[in-house]
Amino acid sequence: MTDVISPARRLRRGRPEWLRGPALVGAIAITVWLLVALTVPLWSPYDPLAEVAPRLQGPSWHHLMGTDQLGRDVFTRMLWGSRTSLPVAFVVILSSVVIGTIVGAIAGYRGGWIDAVLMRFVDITMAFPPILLAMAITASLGPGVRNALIAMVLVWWPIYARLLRAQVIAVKQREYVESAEAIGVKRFAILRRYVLPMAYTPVLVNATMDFGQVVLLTASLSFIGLGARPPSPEWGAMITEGATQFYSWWIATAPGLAILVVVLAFNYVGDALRDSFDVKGVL
Amino acid sequence: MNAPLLQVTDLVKEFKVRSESGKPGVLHAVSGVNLTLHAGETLALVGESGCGKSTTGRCILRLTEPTSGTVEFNGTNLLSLDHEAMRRMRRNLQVVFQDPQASLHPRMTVRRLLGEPLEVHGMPKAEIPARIEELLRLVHLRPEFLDRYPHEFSGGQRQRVGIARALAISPALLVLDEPVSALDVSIQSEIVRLLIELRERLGLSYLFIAHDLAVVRQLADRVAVMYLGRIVETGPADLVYSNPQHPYTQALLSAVPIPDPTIELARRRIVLQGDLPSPTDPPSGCRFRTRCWRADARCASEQPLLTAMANGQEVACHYPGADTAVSVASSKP
Amino acid sequence: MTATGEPILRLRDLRVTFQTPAGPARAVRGVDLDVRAGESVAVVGESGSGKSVSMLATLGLLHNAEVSGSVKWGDTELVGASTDTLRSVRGRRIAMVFQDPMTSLNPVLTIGKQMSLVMKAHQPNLGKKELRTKAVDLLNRLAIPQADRRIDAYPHELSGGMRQRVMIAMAISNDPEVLIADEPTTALDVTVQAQIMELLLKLRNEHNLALVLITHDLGVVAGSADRVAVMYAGRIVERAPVLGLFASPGHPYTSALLDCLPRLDRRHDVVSSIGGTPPNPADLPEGCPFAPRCPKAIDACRSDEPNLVRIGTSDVACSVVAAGAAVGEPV
Repeated sequence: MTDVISPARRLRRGRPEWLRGPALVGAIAITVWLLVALTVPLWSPYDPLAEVAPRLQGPSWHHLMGTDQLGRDVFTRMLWGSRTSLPVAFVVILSSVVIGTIVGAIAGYRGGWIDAVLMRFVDITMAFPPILLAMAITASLGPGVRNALIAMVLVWWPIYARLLRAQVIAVKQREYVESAEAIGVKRFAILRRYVLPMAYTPVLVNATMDFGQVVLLTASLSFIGLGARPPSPEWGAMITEGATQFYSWWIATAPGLAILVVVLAFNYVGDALRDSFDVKGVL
Repeated sequence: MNAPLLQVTDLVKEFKVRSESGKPGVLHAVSGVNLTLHAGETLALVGESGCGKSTTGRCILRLTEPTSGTVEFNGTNLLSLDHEAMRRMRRNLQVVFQDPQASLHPRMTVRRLLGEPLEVHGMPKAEIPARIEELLRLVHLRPEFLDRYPHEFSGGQRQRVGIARALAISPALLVLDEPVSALDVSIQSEIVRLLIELRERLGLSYLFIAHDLAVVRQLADRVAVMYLGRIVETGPADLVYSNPQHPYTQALLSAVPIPDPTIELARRRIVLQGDLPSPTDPPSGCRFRTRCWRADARCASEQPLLTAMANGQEVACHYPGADTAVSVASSKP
Repeated sequence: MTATGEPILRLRDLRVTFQTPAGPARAVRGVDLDVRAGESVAVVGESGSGKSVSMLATLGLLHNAEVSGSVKWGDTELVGASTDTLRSVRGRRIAMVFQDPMTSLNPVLTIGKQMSLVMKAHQPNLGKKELRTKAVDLLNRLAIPQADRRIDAYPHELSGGMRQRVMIAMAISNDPEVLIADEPTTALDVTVQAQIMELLLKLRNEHNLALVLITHDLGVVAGSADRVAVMYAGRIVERAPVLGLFASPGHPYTSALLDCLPRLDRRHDVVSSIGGTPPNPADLPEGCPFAPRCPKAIDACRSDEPNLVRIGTSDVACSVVAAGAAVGEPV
């Protein structure tokens, strides 16, 4: 007899086996960043927006990552940057998953012309490089974090729609779905109870991996002036400011490192999740 | 006789397919099948893989939409019902699949698996727990299994859960699609015994779809033999087994091994030549003629129709007749 | 047909253990079996009985398993043998045919190419032309129509029965002396099964091949085996000539198994069955593993595991049967 332990059950069992090595490091890094984002106003070493020291000083004991061209503490600003990047990424991923799920589920489950229309739309969206499309949308809506967020959701949901659609089509052909149909379970209930729970794992894994990508994209948009504007402490915007101060390398390095750590951390965790769920090459 | 419980008339199912070269073609899965099943009866639909027996079953249940024909259940043509009406009709005809590992939701406990059909068909919530326990008793499973998941059971126990789920809403007809072929021999016989017991206790009718003629023998009142989308022979099980008239039935029966070396060594086996023709390009006339030792020009030009014989057997062959060397004597142990 | 003479393949106390999360699973627990030229031996059992595993261990095809005991090919010991030794025997002297020809064939190579590769492995001197002629000849011998054209076909272009013939053709292409067939017809339809079994028996007769048939189907056994070994929970519980086994099964498991077989030629008034399920090889009961399901079990069965004892023409591992038969002597 082959025992099939479903991913959800595996998750529920106390010690997750996949949380080892790089994934564990990644998970710790993510936890630390989340704590920072939540609590930094309570213990922030300096005011992120105030001039607290002479300008363009290199790293020192008092200013771990030096000060920028306006005399603000770079380390403090880097910590505060997580309060933009992480919530934005979270909202973008969540909204994209929700929209993608609805569209993907309908397309995959109903098939026919509905599927054809929805998927052609998805194809068109995905034909553009995400950064280019996000730039175009933000530019037309006007710069700002809120508009960048909307733009990123518009760019991102088709990925999940396509992923979930493929899963739904695969799961829908399984025998227990047919058996539910034979019992007389209503179509929506079949989709909700039989198809979606079994189709969802790759979306979950991908969303984890994409989290880092969205952080990167947020920073990229800010870097080119379409997202957060100065003086707000946002990683991408900070890099823009640092880029002009060529000899004060620490200004751009600090937010760059922050982005690197977050992206890597989510990739490690996502990778491990994918291996543990044995999700085969998605997309 | 009374009006039949299930009457299938001229059932046709064709699938649009593309050949490897990309040419569109038509796969003739079921080509004009007629079946009649009376209340309390077990009709076995037998044949080898690709003969269309499972597709026939799925068309009857409307898990696949037939291309044409009618399926009358208690006088109602199922094919004329809309989705919602068919959904409500399903309480009368249920199905047990071959592989309970695949046909039971892996993340539902037995309690949910058995409770769901009851909820779906509107049983008051208060009555459900008692009914679930009754169902478990019916299929001889212990009540402490209620909160287990399908993967925690052995193959035979899982199939009992599958049967209990199908019986939950007290259907009149059960379509059994190869219900024992995924199981070990010693487990097979338990499930067959359970099916016989349930049939007597609940007055069920079975449409038993199977390839294993020895298992069918233990259960069937009547048998319909399919080959390449058509029924070639049908009749009371004892007659078909002891006195097959169609050459394919004879070959099929002669190929089934009998677990008794003295009989095996004395038997003459008809070993069919060649392969099953492709259902995308079935032979003209009689579909069995390409492998038949009795075939002649007439078989290629004229399709033989099912014709009743005096004893109740029906054969679709231009040259029917017993082949004494291969018939399997009907013996009592 | 009964073969006499020295066994060419000799299994002695073969044991296979797998490490599983649930602890060591003793899949095969001391199997003794002799195979002689020209005879067909059936190894029968339900899933998990160890019938396939013991034969895979024989050929050294198990990885991640502890194998002990002895498998002798002539004077060559195969358990623990070097890869080179195994390779010189495997495919050349002892060949194997598996249940599912689709997964055993390489989907991107033509039939002819695959057959050539198999032949070249053991007969490196054969030239391209000779290989092709031999391959066509083999396919012809296995009654594959239009062999000279089919040889250029890919596996997916053939029917299941054809693929199994190709597998058998490949298996016999180096003229082995033993052919181990693991459920060779289980994936096939019954009329195709008849074709394949007829072929296997013909090969045995023509080449004096020893045939080891691993199967769960006692019907197939009845028509094709000379001797039968019935396995349960990793051990042989009964070893007997085919006629004797069916006429008077010695072990209670054998008789129970025969009783619950559905038969084509009769409708049973009462369908009998064996209650319970086979034991988990990682959690075997004390004593005889069949005792919990055995109608004849006595207290001794739950404490001592019986060994094979000669009773008439059969060897039976059952304390109750051995006690009843005065002639019983250990084998």
